[in-house]
Amino acid sequence: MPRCVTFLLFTACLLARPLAGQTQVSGVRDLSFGIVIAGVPATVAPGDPVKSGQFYLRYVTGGRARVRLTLPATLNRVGGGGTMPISFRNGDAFVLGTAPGSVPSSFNPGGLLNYRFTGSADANIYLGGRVTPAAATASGNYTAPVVLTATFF
Amino acid sequence: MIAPHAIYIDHRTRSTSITLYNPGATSVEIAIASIFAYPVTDSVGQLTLFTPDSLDASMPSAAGWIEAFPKRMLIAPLQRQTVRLLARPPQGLPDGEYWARLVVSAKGGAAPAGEADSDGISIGFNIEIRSILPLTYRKGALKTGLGVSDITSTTAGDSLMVSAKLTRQGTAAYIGTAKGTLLGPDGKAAASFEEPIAVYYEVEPTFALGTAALPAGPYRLRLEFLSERPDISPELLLRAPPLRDSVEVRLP
Amino acid sequence: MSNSMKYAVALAAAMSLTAVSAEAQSGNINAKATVLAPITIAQGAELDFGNVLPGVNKSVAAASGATAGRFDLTGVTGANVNVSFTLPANLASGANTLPIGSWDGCHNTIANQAGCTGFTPSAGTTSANFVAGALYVYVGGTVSPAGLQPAGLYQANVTLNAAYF
Repeated sequence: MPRCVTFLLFTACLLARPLAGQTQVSGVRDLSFGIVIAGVPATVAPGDPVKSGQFYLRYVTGGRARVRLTLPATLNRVGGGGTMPISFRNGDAFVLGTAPGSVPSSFNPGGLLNYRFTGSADANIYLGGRVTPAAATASGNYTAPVVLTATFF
Repeated sequence: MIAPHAIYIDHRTRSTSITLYNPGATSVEIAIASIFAYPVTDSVGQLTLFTPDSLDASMPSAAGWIEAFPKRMLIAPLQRQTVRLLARPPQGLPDGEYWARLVVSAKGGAAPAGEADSDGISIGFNIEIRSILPLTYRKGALKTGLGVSDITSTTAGDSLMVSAKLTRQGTAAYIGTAKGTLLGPDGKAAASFEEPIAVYYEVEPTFALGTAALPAGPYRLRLEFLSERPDISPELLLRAPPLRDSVEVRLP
Repeated sequence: MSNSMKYAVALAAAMSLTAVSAEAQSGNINAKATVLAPITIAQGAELDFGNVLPGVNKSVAAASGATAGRFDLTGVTGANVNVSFTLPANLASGANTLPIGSWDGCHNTIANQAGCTGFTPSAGTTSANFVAGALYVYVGGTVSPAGLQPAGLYQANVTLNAAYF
């Protein structure tokens, strides 16, 4: 095979897939409601600097990603014995690039987010939500996973 | 609202917090103090607080060295306040469990007045509500257990009253749940009860099972004592093996 | 263009197109909360003696009076609670006093006086159970104004103590 053909194939491969290490998705901080009183709903705003959940995304400047969050409907009592509803609304999440002057963009965490990495190669996604424990909710620690899946283009 | 209603402090951290929430429409003035008391049972088997007139060295009191921050506060309607509880135990405190009762006093706004006009007599009360909650301070490895004896049952009206002497074992109070099931001749549950229990030294509680619709005859009463409570996080409770016992009873 | 060259160009184009559905990655966090069971004590209704006339005793029955005071308590279903009161013997309006002849009380596990269990709130501690996670404590009493009782707003402090176990 001529060298130019090999070069063309190699270039195509580079275009086809992000390089290993070029993309990154990681959970940074749990969405933490802290102490909740049974019978009293509690809300965490996505802008809460301590309690909101946080994911970190890295790709390439100008690249695009489609982001989907897999959200729980209930939190489960550690050790069993109960569940507690958790819900998310439009505006309970926002994405913020790391470039100076980046502006947060709110979105519905229950839907898809199409994001373009503008001015920087990485961004953070912040997540809030609300829990509505019933008055009879058993005391204890409750937890459930939140998964962010990003497809990079 | 006060949460939690059972407060635990570990010697390693020497602090915890409680959350107060005002669900009402007016501000509430709060004051926090601590006393030494522990539950005993009265002559009819109901739990009641025993508050010694004076403390001696043998009493595991933490009341003197638990401090609340803030001690006084005003909570606006629908607002919450976190109160930090700090323990300052004496130097050389031996391993063990130490007890206190947190007294959370709440006063509402101005005294309500009756409807009399200015020429009449009107009456108003200033209401203060004191919630008295168990506080437990633990140092070192502790164990708890329960001894059950003297199970008796008597019928009273449309209830079967069950009594048992419960004696704490180990080095810490037994906090758990008592469950009782009355089994009919067919082995099916005919009545039951489930009550939280707190055994600091020894108590002799009475439990009631409704027997109004049950036919006369022999039954088996099954009792179970578990070191778990739905209202207290499992990691805060000291575990002990479940205890089960059963006795024959006859309903008239 | 040679055949191999054409083949390579076609392959490169195809691979470039597949880049549109390139690579998916996931990251996890947890949503978490610590639930604490609260207790609640609130004044559900004020004890209201209404119009009081000099020289005429006025009573509000805890077990039946429409204007009886009510305290609403919540706790763990089945749990024991001790209720006691610190009650005044007199109401005061400046230097004037108005005697309280007696106090009475009753409690129920539903917010209804019918069928409530009576107790004497001034006599000490009353033990009750949260049968369904709630307890309603009703308070009434009798005030005994003198025949020449001066007009005015008479007030006194009432303290409810609730001990949980």
